[in-house]
Amino acid sequence: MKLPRALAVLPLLVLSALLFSACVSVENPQGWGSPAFTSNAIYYQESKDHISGATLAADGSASRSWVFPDKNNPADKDIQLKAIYGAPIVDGDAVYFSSFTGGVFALNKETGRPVWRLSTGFSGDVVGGVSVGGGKVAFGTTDGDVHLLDEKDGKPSVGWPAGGVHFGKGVWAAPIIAGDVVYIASMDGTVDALKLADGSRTWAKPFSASGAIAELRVLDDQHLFAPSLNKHVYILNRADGGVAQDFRANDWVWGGAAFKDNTAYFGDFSGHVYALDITTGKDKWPSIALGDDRDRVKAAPQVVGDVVVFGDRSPTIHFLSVADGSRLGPPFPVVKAGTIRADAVTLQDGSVVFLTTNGRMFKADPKTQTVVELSVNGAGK
Amino acid sequence: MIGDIFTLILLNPMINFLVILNNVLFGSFGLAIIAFTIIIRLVTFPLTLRQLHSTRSMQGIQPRIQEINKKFSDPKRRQEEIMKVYREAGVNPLGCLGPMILQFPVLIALYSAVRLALATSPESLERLSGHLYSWSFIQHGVPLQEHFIGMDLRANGGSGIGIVMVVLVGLTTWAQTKTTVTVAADDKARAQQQMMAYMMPLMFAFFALSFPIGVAVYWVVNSIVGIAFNILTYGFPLLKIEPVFKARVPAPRTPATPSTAATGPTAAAVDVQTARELRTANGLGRSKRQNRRRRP
Repeated sequence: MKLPRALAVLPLLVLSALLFSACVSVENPQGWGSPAFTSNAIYYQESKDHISGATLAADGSASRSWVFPDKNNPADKDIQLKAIYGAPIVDGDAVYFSSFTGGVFALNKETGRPVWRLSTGFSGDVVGGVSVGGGKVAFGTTDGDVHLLDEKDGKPSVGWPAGGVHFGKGVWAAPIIAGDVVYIASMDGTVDALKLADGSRTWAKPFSASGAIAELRVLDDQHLFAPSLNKHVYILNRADGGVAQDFRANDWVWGGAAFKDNTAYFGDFSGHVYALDITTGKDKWPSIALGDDRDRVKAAPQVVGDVVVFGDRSPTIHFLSVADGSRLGPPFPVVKAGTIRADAVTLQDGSVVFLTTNGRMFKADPKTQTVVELSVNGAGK
Repeated sequence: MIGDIFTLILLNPMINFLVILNNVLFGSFGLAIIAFTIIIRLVTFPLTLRQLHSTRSMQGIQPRIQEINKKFSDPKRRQEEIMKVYREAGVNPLGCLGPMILQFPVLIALYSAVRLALATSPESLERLSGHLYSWSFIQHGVPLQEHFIGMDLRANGGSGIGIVMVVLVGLTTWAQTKTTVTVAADDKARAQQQMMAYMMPLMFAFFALSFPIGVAVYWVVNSIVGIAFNILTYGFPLLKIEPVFKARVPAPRTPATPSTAATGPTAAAVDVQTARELRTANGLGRSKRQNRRRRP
């Protein structure tokens, strides 16, 4: 056998195999955690592998003060975040967040250095993010376990079942700590309420839907917002898990809601947005298609005054009237910035910030219906 | 445009079928992948069988092709003689390509469906929503259960127990190439095919290291089904297994004598005459049905 001729076959084999594998590209984890703002700082996912802290000046400019993991710090060499799906939570001197495969972290909010990190002792990946309250940090895994840690040192909380409380098919929604109760949604379609002290159930029985529940939010003192991949949105009573309203959307609802005057504003994967009156279960105004079918709405909107601000995946920012859903100004496309999947955040000045999957932030002004980029000096370096 | 048609006609039905199988088979996505692969391969078996038979027939006439290659130095004449042999044997030189080309999109869709349905990341699950029909039975099935006999189907083959699947990918691909009949016109081509028989398993095992384990499960089952088809069609002499679906292999021709090796009209006439004598009532390697098709 002549070697050169035999070797000539190799590139052909490799090429055909690559073509084969590239026929359908599968999306790698990018993350969709929304940014967290304090009066003088921003904490956000700068890229799928990094979280950054930036100082926010009075004139609205921002400068990066730290990045984690830091490529110049040998201690961070083996840390891989690989996407952040939940918003970082600032509490006291620390920023708490989880990454898809890297575990749960508490960073010093000034320096960005780890206070503690939990990367072992649980199985599965973390999609939903963390919830902080009552001195505890809660998170769920794709293997279906909900763990509770001490906020101070990241050690498993005393009294909480060892190995976590198990739910079928995985926990993708961030658990919600509210008072002495933690609310949990599972991909098998259940929502349950457990006592923070020992993980015992507070409801007589969990709520159960026929489709997976990948998001869970508290609307007010009495209600939970539980959208399902079966296209239904359930408004649940926090007291007993009973269904206050059952609303059917056009497609999957996998995102949070803005809530004002007993009305929940949210979007679905068909690109429709809704204003659901949770007392009557009726539309406040007929659903509106923001764009075409591909412009899914994943990000939770924000209501500021009489304006509700939506971001879709195309990505475009839309300003709608709270009263009747009519458009206020033209839609604002955000060019070459990835997609909008992270929930919108309202700042103290009344502007609404969207973080794109490329790590860029856009500030929408509901009063003037204009959008400007919020650049962070030093980002991306 | 082509991508949209591929998605609409092949990919989406396959993904939805996969989810239905998952729901029927106790929510086990591993079982669904196995059943799905076997069913799709069985459905496309007539095409596979045609391809295997064509390959076998091609292999059967190789001695005669080699003989012609040696006998005729003029390329045009050589080509004519080879085409004559093809005609007489009822073999289409592209016969094995047709079924293969038809099967290829199905195999790509099969592979892509498994990869997409696995939803290895939240983004993938979000994307999967665009491929699912709006039937509630399907919508209620997602996300699919990722664990199967102790393996996380979403994890890479290179992690933990996934190595077992990587080894199985290599072994089954090798076994499939060993049970496949190949067509080689000369020693060089034969040597190349031998090398491929070892390179292919290594290469696919290497790819399996970075693929989700669910895809490796699909690949192993696909190879096992391929091995079964090969044995059913070609038999397996080592274990004295006779083929179940026998191909009509053209009878080998008596080697040309030195006197007939001379070129020229007389020699060619003798050649044709000998070939005619080798024909059956229906023609060499031809069925009555094939003959009916040839009539105007």
